[in-house]
Amino acid sequence: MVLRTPSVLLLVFLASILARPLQADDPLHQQIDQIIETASLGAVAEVATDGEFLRRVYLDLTGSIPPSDVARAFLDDAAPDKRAKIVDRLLTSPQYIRHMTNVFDVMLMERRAEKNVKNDEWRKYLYDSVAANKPWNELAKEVLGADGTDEKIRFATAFYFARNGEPNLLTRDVGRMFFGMDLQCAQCHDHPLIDSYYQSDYYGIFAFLSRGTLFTDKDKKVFYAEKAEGDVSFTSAFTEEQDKTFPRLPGSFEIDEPFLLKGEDYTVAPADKVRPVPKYSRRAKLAELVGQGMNRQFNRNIANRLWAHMMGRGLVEPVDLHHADNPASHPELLELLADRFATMNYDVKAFVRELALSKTYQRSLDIPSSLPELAAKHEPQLEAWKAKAATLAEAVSKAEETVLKLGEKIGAADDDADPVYDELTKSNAAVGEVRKKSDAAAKALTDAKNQLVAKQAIATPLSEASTNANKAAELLPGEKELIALAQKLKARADKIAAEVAAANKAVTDKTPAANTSAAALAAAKSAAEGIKKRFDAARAKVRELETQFAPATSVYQVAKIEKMLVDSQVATAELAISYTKLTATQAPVETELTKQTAELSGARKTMQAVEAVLAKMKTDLLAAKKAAESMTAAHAAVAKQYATRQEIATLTSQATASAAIAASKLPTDTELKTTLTSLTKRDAQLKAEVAELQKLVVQKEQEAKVAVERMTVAQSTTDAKAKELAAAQATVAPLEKTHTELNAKATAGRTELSQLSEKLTSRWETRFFTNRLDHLSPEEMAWSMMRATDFLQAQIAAGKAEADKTLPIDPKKPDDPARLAEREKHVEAYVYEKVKGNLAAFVKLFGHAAGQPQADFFATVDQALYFSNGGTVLSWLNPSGNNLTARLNKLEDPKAIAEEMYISVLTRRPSDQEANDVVGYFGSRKDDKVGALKEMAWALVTSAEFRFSH
Amino acid sequence: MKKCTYACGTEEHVISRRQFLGDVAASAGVVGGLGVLAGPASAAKLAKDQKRVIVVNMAGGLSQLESWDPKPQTDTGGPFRAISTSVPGMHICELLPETAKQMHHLAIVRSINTKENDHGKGGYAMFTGRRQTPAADYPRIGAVVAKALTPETSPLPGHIVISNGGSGGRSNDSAYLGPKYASISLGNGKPPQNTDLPKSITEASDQQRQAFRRKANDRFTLRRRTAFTDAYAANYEQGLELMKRREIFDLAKEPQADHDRYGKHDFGRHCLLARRLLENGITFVQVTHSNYDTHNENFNFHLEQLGEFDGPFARLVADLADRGMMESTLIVVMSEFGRTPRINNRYGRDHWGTAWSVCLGGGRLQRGAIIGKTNANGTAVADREVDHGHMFHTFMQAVGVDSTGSFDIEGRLMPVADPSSTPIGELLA
Repeated sequence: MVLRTPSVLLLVFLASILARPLQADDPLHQQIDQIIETASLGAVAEVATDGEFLRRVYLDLTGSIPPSDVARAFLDDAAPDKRAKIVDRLLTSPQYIRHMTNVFDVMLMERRAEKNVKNDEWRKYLYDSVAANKPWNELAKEVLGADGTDEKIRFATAFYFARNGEPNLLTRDVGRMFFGMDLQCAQCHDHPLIDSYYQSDYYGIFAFLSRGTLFTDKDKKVFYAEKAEGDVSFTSAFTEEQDKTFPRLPGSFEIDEPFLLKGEDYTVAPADKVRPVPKYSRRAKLAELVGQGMNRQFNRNIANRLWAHMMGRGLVEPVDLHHADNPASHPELLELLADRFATMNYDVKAFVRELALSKTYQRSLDIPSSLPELAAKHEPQLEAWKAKAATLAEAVSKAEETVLKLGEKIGAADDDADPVYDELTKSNAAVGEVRKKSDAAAKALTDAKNQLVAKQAIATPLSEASTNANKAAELLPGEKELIALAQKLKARADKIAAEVAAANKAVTDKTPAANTSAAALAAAKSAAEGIKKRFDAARAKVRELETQFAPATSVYQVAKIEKMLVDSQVATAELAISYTKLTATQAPVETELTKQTAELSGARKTMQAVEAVLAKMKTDLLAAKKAAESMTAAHAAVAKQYATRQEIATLTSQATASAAIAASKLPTDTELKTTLTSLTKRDAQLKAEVAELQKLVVQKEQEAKVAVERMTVAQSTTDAKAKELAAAQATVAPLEKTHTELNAKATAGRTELSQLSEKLTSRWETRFFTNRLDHLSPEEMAWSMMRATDFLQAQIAAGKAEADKTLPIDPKKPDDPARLAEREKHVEAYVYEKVKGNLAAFVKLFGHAAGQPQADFFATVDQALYFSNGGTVLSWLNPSGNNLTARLNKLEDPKAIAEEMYISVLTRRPSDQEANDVVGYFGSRKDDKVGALKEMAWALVTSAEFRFSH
Repeated sequence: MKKCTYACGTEEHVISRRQFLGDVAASAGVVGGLGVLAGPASAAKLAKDQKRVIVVNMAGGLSQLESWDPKPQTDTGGPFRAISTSVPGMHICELLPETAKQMHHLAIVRSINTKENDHGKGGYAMFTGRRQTPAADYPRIGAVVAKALTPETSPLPGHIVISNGGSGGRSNDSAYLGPKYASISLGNGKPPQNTDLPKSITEASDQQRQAFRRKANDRFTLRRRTAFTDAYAANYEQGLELMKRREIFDLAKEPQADHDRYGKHDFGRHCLLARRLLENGITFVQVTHSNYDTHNENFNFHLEQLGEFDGPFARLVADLADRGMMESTLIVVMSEFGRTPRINNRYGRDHWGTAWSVCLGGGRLQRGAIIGKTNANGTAVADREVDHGHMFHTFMQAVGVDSTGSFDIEGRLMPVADPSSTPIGELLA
């Protein structure tokens, strides 16, 4: 299965669906856009504004928002190719290296604690790899192949070390990170929630890794070590079925392995305190296979992960859950990306560049306005599409059946090979046993032979010495000492001769055993070789069937993809149609509601006006009533007073008249006269008083009459108004009722519309028809906050000062690009070292736990409290040097402040409203400009836009 | 060596990706299984009905023979007597006289066999409901409870572990459920971190900056609004709310009489704090009593330790019952394992996962029940053997969480409890 060239079937299929057939040499970004636009039926979002694009591309390629001066310059740049230019510039920046180092670090290590290799060392390995733009397959090969012995890539061993070399943990993470498949639960049984992850998938990877362990040498240095033996079999926790497997990559077949006879399978045999080195390493094989890039799932995984990095979301999401029941949103695109990334020789930078240049990457956050056109255009096709989908479903199940049948056949052939393999294993174990015996016998023989040679080496000179000494003794018979010596020598020579004879006999005795056991070993070997041949034959049958598998799956996959595309188009169109329809039915309801609301409010106003007048009238009436009452009472009081006075006056008058008569009859009675005078005076007074009172009574009577009349009039106008109000109320009531009904209808419609709109947004963003809101990672957030507040500014200045010393610019060559690049890299590294602690603090708060997937968004109260009340971020907002608040504080014009603040923090200019808000804020904080600056800047760095918009 | 088969992948079969807010609506965030939890309820109702859990961790391994499963007059029984309890026929060790009076609120499971005799592995099994394996990590019970039961809108941390060193910081025990459900460690009266406005910021200034932030958010969310933007924005409001309510972490606010009743020692204070937290709507509280790892002098240690445990624990049970909280609160007293029936030559008992007990009560659990039994001298389970998996399922069911359902973690379905195990049905009322 050579998968590095795009599947021919796939290309034919893509050609058939796209408006303009894909040309193999079209730039990838154009191919991406064609596929997405075809799938979206044309309803893609507008191109993002310059600010939105710049923020996004800065974050995705360098891990931070842009500096304000860069942002300002970019916004004001009129060059048409400025976007492509900035992409290329960022790809060559040291920040790109740092950011991608972080991306790969988090992806592969998930913030695990360091073990044996320091995290900084591992990161340096990644940093150097990214800086060299090491192809992904090579990086993967190094990471999976490193065992610590090659110093050049020793730090790459961190992947194994941080997981303690534990085969189960490694299996899970190799599955997730390099193949996009989380097989965790398939460890004990076929995945309980996902039907097509099988235990055999898990154990296929496990078999590559199960022979490995960590090894510590006498200098306490840790290595990865491996044994030459150990086969993998497994039992389901649910069904207790047993099975076994050779190493196998996901979606691929068990590999054929070299057969090594026991005793010939190690380069360095295992022994105490010795790191064993097998002749054939399964783990090296894994690294090699991965490095070849032949595995489609390996290619899909990395293409999808890099896509997710740039686009905010994988085509398959979660990125480690590639699975038949969790297909890519655009499977045809995933296949294309996987193929193209492989043909680009796994060049991460070039691939990421293509993604950044696509229109798909550059879409705005907004939902497109062209939905009605789309709906109208595609509604007539719906039925035909559905019919097509039904036909395709049949094709899919047919193709699936073929694949399944073939799978069963392969399984059966595999099962046939199983017992032969068991035999082979047994016979190889026998080879090991026989070899032990044979080795022992051979060693015994060799020992005996060595013994013989050694004895012979002594015997020969001794025998000569004895012969010569005895000859000499014969010649000098008187020399007693010589004779004794000769006799001694003879005795010794005889003894050694006997020993030689014994040794000789031992050699003779041991030879047959050695020969027999050597023959036994040869026989055992040949038996094993014989079984190996049978096994090879059985495997060949499996292999033969396997070759048919790739074309069959290819047909199946293309059929499936085609069906999914039609299904997806139906779903997209249906959503657009129902959204458009609902919008259409909702519109007149809203219009009518507006109209009725106006009518109702008119009627209500009229009614309220009458009510107001009536209320006034009622008040007036009440006043008039009170006035009438008091006037009438006043009249009555005066009348009563008048009556009393008149009575007195009458009596006084009568008394005066009588007194006058009496006085005329007693003219001398002075007393009487005086009394009369007095009476007369009083009488006149009283009369005058009565006359006054009478006037007053008339006046009061008149007044009371007027007041009563007024009251009567007021009463009648009030009554009339009350009637008018009743009439107005009668008009309002039915209006009110219909309005309430209509309002309920409109509200229900709006709810439905908003739900539908949510669905639509979700579909549009998960399919990349519009840009997805993506949250900043902990590091991105830290860098961006330090950038927005310009806390970095002081660090950068210090880094530059250091570079001036260590990497000064040659005045003769001030523009030397190599030197400038070197300086840039130096300054970046300097700043990184300085702010490491801040990055760590953000990771602690915003990162997931070690060993957990790191991509998901989560919000905890302690994060908000850290920003609101914690010292770190608040201190960055204190004016200092030329940081954000210091810079803003130097500006006078509030509008200029608003502009600089929004560009620095949100990479865009403020709207008029926003600028006015800033002006207003200063208005309310005249006493404390710096306080106001800090507060507003704080509010913007903690806003949802800062966290999500890119 | 079987090949995998390939399932058909139509759109309909796509794993249903529930939205973030969907979890809020279901209030439990559990999907599938048999009894999906009830829908949204009003805040007041939630406050009253919200289920809670308190776990008392008898660290080191409480002896079942000196507590819930005494075997007096046997070769393994040790010196202590069994006493009767408020439940007719139920006897527990004489070291727990106060608790004995509260047993009508509680139940005992006497037939636990986890087959784990290692502190770490035993604790892992009991607190996660799964056996520890190298390739996987599972959330602790507090994280599971917090995720399943804490209303999404609550400003309060759902998972609190009371300990002496409690810094108010977040720990790392929620595995795939995410840091939101990791425990906050509390002790010594310190509230969660950063719940105080710094001196440099006045109330007025705080209000102004928060208002400006809200306005910025409102503008942005008009353009695009998601569950995440909502959650992020809401988080600041929850922070402000928590600042207002930081007193609930302040034990000094409890009446002096209660301080006297619970005692001045750590365990007493921690029980009282637990009561205060549960009453104020914290979903999960863990209190630890240490240390029961009595390889030496088992009997003296238990005499002393349980003497400290008995009173405060009994009062906590009685108080929760008095306040009508038993229906909504699960109480669990457990360890990583029990202790050997065999008494070693240092008068100690050793690690023993083979036949031991857990005391639990409240929620849906039957009061006064005894589940399972050990043989005459406690050396083996004689009836109804259960393990950590059954216990974990039962804990969840006791507070209405469907233990056969799964959490949807951003598209990954994660079973609430071990799918190959089941709850103890007969213990659930």
